[in-house]
Amino acid sequence: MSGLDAVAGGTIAAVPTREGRAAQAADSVAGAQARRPTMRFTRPVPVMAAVTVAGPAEQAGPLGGRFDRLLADHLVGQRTWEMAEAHFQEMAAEMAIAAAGLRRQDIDAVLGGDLQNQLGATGFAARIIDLPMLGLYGACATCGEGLLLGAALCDAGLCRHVLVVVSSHHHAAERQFRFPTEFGTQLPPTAQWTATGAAAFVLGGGDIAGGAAPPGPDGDGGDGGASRRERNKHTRRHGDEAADGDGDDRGRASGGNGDVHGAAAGAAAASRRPCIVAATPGRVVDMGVKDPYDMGGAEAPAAADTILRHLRGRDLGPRAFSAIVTGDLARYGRPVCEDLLRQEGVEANLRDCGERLYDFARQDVHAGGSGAACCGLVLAADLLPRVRAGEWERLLFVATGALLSKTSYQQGQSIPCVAHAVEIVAPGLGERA
Amino acid sequence: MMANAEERRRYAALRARHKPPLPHLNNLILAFVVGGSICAVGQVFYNYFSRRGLPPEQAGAFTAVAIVAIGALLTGVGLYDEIARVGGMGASLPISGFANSIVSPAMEYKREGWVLGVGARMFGVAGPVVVYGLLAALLVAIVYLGAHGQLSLPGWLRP
Repeated sequence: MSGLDAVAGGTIAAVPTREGRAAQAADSVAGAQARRPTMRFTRPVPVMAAVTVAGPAEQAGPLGGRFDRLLADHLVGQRTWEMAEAHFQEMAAEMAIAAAGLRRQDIDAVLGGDLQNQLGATGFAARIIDLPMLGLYGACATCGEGLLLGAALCDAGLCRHVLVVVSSHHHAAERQFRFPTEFGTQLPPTAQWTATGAAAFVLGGGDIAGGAAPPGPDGDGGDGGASRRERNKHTRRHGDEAADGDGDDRGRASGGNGDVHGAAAGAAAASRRPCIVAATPGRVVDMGVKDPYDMGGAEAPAAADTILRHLRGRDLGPRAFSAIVTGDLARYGRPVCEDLLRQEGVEANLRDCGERLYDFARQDVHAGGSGAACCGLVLAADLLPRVRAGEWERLLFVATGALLSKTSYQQGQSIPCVAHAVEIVAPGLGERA
Repeated sequence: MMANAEERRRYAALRARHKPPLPHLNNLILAFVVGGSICAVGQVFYNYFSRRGLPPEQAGAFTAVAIVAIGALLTGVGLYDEIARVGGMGASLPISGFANSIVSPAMEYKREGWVLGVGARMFGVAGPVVVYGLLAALLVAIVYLGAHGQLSLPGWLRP
């Protein structure tokens, strides 16, 4: 009787009213977030290619020699800044697919984003890229958002290869967020310089999404869907076992010949490439900063929040990472973020993409770079090569974005900010991740 | 996450510790040099127009036209924004800065067409100067005329 009472009581207590149910659901969501703030991929997702298209000011910076394509001017033969930016994305996408050694039909989805209203550059570029496209807006954090989602799509076996492309254009951003480009104005030292350029990444080709599956003539043969899903189911299961630590060789072999082949080929490919092993999507954090000329200061709490949640979710200390690189907090936002981490008992020396893109001694960019392309350019031209070369074993890339618009700050609203973390490990380290 | 008032206050204090002070002295000196140079150029024009026999009021108006033309030209060739980056208010306050604030949106929005682009947005930056300049002129005129006893209400408004 007492057992029955308990069940009945439990049921009634658990679902007394609609409000109660909602509260319970909210509780369980919060609980789940507290337990698992981090996405840990079942298998490392290789970054097959990372290419850059850089504008004139970016070429003059310290990474100038490492970009894949250098633009002669801000218009690249187009009529408007906006169309020029779309053209950057087209170039970057084409170069990335070639650099990955793939054909266009091998890409199952494009995740693209930029800073223009209604994702202008991405939408217009997608006409030419002509592949299934999902537009993303995370302001300057778009690169992290794209890598996170791309890795998740590959990991889930839903896509063989995903192309992530981000861009920004200094002049297009200036006229949209601030003033006409030729308008003369003096900015405070905390202002940041929107980068001109685009970065594109190809993810996949590992052992997750049937990397060994022969690509059909149009990328997805008539029977491809079902059989690939079946394969994916297998590989997923192996992945889960490996992640749980109880998968063994025998278990893997039982998956069938195709799987073993796929896993072997994928592992070989993955051994040469940096791999995404985990990611933490950011919460939107608004600490009441209203100054659009201090975005680093506005974004720092979002970055600190995501870094803390990632470290907690991965159960790792900051020293487990060769480098923690924030998106574009720039000169004055990065120390604020370090302070915030210190308050939580985490001593970490951060690096920042906004401080890396330009030469402060020669270029008048105030606090540093920003824009969706900024951290994409630095990641592709500077960070990933270091990971690939083994100089860094484990990189935490935390792209930060300020989700403001001209309308919102003119109406006196504070700046909501977000940061997405992506953990990238050196080739061959994936299995130990 | 939306910070409450206390969290905002604490964060503002933390941010203030890292925020660099505005380089006021530097800005003042550069504004003086740049603004002063523009005025000196204006003076050269004024003297020239005066020597050519224009009365002071007309020489002043011609000088303004010349400085506006130079400001517009420098904006067109992409130099004025660089000057203003250094000179700040020293470049924005003279009438050449006003020219820059009208020519720069005209250039920027030409791509949206002559009507909805140039025509509609040319005064996007300078508009407030025109509106509040007129308002200020009106108020000053009322005060001036009132002080000189010359302010009289029109007949239909008189009690």
